[in-house]
Amino acid sequence: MNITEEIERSIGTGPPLPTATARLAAGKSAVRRRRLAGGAAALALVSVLGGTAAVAGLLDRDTKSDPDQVVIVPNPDVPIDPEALQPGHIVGYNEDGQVVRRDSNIKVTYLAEEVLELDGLKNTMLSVERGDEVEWILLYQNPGGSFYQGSPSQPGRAEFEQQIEFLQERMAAAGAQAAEEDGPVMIDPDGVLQLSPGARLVRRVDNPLEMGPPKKSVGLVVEREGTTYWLLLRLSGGSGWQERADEADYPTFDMWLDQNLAEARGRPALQLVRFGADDQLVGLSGVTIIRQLDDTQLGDLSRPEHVSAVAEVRYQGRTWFVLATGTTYSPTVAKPGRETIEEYLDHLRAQRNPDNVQP
Amino acid sequence: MIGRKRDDAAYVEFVASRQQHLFRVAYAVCGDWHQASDLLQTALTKLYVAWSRVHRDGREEAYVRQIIVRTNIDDSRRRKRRPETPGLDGFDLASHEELAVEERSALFEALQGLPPMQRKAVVLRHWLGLSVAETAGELGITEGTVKSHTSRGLEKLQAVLSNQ
Repeated sequence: MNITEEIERSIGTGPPLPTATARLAAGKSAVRRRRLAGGAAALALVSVLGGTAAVAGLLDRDTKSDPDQVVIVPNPDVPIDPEALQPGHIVGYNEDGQVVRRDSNIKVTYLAEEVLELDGLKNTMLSVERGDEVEWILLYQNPGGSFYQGSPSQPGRAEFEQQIEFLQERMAAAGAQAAEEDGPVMIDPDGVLQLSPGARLVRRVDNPLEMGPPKKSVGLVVEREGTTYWLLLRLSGGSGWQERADEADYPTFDMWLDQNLAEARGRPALQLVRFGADDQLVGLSGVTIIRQLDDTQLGDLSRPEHVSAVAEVRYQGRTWFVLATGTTYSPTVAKPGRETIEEYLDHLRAQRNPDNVQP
Repeated sequence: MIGRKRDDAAYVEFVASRQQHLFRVAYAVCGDWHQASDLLQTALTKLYVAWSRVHRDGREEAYVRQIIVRTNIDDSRRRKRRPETPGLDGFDLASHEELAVEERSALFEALQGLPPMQRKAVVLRHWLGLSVAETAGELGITEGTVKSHTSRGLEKLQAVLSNQ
């Protein structure tokens, strides 16, 4: 009997999956619009630099009575305070920095405090028991939340050391990952924006979305490692969302900001064309129409309830395509693979009829 | 150029060639095709976000597998509520009839009946072929614990097989 083959045979193939192209679209969407990274990433990186010394000190202190067993630090009462916890978390800190638990079925045992050097921020390692499940949780005080890892309780010294090393590695990986993935700007717990290491501010536009307090917005052009980022941040208190322009979707940074302001106000910013006599598209100021297709030439893209048309135009030195339907005008700049009006129509059809399921 | 240029073609090629296998890995870890679909979508989205670095290091599959396993570990902590994982627009897994008529083998049922960490240890060690050290790293437990988990898990699976 070969257990590998038996397991292999026991697992089916499951239902059909989305296509790789659909996965790509989901990934692109995630890249474009992301929650602003908190200071957690930077803190995690800093913690690793001094982490070994901290752990060694902790073990020296905690193993006086039994070198093979980690001695539990004095175990204070852990209040029940579900309101203080993030959704889904069973333990956490309240506003006073005190460890709290979600309900009375959760038993919390302190393993160690100040396990990692987190730039003066509190961190606590706990053994948390719920039903027959026991795991270790490393809490640390910052906007990024907590790291959780399962592990048997009552660990021996070797296991404790190994677990701490594992957490350090994971935090370092998370920090490096966050630093790369979340772009060149982070927000600290006080809501203050900070550039990540190596990033340089090129331009700042305050409140381009004209938001009222306490909300605010800021547009940034930032360079890091030879790459230029266009960022639009929506901020509220100590958190926010960032939007990053996709590659070359707009000729200028200001045009991108204008487009976002218009969308925020529910109106199109870039119209470029309007319907004139006989339902023909006419270019607005500065716009030259190169070619257009009317309702009868759009086939399945035409809409019975509205007059539709598509135009290829030149504006600010670049080629654009505009889909006009009734009073809605949707311009998009030409890009590789979408350089002719036919390719643009194919793109529209693909968007409207996504072949999401593999045969 | 705005932003980091990603190699989209390489990402699409990887997903097309490996997502079926990774879907089965997710299913083996969690025992539910819906949840496996959520896990895989989460992992593949994170993969795209980190694509430049992960692809450069040539560890795409390990990265996705780690996200699947760790997300499942985190999710299992939040048993009271199902994670709100964004799916793909227009693709509803629940609409496929295959789920309604799904049949699972006795071995798979036994695998899913193992305690969560035992099940993951068995899947990683004895289906995916990871070493004890690699399995310990992915699960965040010691090598000794991996050995005890897999030993107990295999014992139960072999009992099921010998009764068939």
